[in-house]
Amino acid sequence: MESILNGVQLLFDPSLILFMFVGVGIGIIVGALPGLTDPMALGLGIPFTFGMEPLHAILFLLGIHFGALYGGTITAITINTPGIPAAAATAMDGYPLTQKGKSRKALQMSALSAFIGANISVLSLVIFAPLLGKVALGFGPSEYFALGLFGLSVVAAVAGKSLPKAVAAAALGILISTIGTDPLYGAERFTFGSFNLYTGIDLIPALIGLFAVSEILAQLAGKAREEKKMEHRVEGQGLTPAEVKNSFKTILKGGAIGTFLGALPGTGAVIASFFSYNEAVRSSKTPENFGKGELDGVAAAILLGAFILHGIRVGPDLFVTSGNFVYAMFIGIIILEIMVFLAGWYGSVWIAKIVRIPRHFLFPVITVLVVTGSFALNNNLFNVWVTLIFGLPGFLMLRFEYPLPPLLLGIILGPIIEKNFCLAMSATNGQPLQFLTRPITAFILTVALVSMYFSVKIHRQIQKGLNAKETIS
Amino acid sequence: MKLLIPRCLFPKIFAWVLVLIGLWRLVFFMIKGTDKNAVLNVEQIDMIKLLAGTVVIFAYVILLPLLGYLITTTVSIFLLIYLLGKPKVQTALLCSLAATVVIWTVFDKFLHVPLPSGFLGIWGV
Repeated sequence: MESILNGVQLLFDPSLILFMFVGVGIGIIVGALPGLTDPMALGLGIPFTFGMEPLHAILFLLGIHFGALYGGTITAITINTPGIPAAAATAMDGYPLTQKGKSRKALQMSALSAFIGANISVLSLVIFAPLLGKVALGFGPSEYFALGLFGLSVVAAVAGKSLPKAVAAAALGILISTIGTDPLYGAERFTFGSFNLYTGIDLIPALIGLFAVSEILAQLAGKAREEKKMEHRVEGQGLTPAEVKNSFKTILKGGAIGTFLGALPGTGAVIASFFSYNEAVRSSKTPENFGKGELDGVAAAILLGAFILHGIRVGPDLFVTSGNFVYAMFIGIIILEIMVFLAGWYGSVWIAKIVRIPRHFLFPVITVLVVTGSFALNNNLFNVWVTLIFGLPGFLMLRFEYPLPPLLLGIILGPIIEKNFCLAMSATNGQPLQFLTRPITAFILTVALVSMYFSVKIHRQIQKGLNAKETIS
Repeated sequence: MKLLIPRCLFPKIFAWVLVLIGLWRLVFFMIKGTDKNAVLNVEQIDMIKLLAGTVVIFAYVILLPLLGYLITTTVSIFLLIYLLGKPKVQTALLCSLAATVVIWTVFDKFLHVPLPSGFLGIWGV
């Protein structure tokens, strides 16, 4: 309780509220612009947070994230172009409402369900987080190694069309993560004598390259990209109290499922979003829009990167080491959702007008932001080159339909798995089977196997949907 | 002395995973025929625009420390605008100048990022 009160106290700062407001505004606009994604906005937003306090920085980025999620539904509803796969389900029901001249109702319902869902998640976390913290105190290297493997177990679910391609992308990601010094012997690997590579590849420039530069190159490559006319129509009457009441049960159910699945450690958020994603694909008439990888999990990974960048120790013991900070963040999330909700409820007409920026003005500016942002990470050009070089495989992977999220999972989880495997092997004198004698490790590994089974199952259903579509066409 | 873990174990494991998946896909498609997604359809790509854009972006980063942020950024935005669309010269010029000044002000003045000043640095810009 004391941590919660201290957390509330941290939020009594006008500059913090201003940053959150600006973050939400940027997020909604970016999310509503087709071609611009939530991960791209987060990656570009990180350099702007360097001078900020950790809480300001994280809430600013979370504002961008929640804003972009809602912004994605604006395009899904008004022009049938979901910014993110999660918004694809919104497009399925939302766009027909737009065609009937009821887009305002759809936008308001989308804002309301996001608001209620987020509140359920945050409240559950406030209740269950201390329990998680207690369990985490018993975590050693073998548990973290098992958690890393658990994170990788969802690769099949983020595979998109082809599982071998996803496994190849994840393996490439882990291989990239081994660049730098060996965690056990200190030997240099793939550094080619460059001291910049001794500490490995930084996550943020790699990520900006994979998601932003690849999109810039895709825009330049032009022809194949489908260009939709951006005629955002926001019309009709708003939601009535009776309509809100009728939908309440569905919203609560969705929020509870999301919270339960999203609360799983590691990449739980990816699994959670995939359950709805899978359902959306199963019932979608346009499954070819899917299979591009789930970007929500990527956003979680970027936020993780931002935590580390701002010196916050991430892991299941986060609640023990930074309790006040975490509770301030939770309450901050509720405030952010209120801001998104208000913007969605009252401002969707204006948002739809703002986003009519021609892409020939937008993407050159994004290119410059990519270069400047990467430079600002360490004030040197090395990271800019990393960003540009990662953009090329990112573009080719998109063209050859290799999913990017597994690559990113590999880059993020590779060091966690390798370092903790080495430490655990040292502790057990080279006996990996001894890992299983630790109950939490054995439990996490079992959950990882179950998760792997389900993610392969989800992958098969996505493929079935895609094959059915191909047969029809 | 016997090592607990072989040197470079992880890079070796995952390099082999990549080799095996590559071989598997090669054999699979030799038997089943070519995967339509495994071939880059050049007709769908505007190669000239893509190459020109890539050259502009790489030249921008190479020239950044020499000519400085303000000049290279304005020119790069201007060229990229023309590669992606065909607006009026005045509009493109105004947009590149405005975007450069805004981004430079935010990063250099507010965030105190020492952006390269190039030869303009000798005049203290």
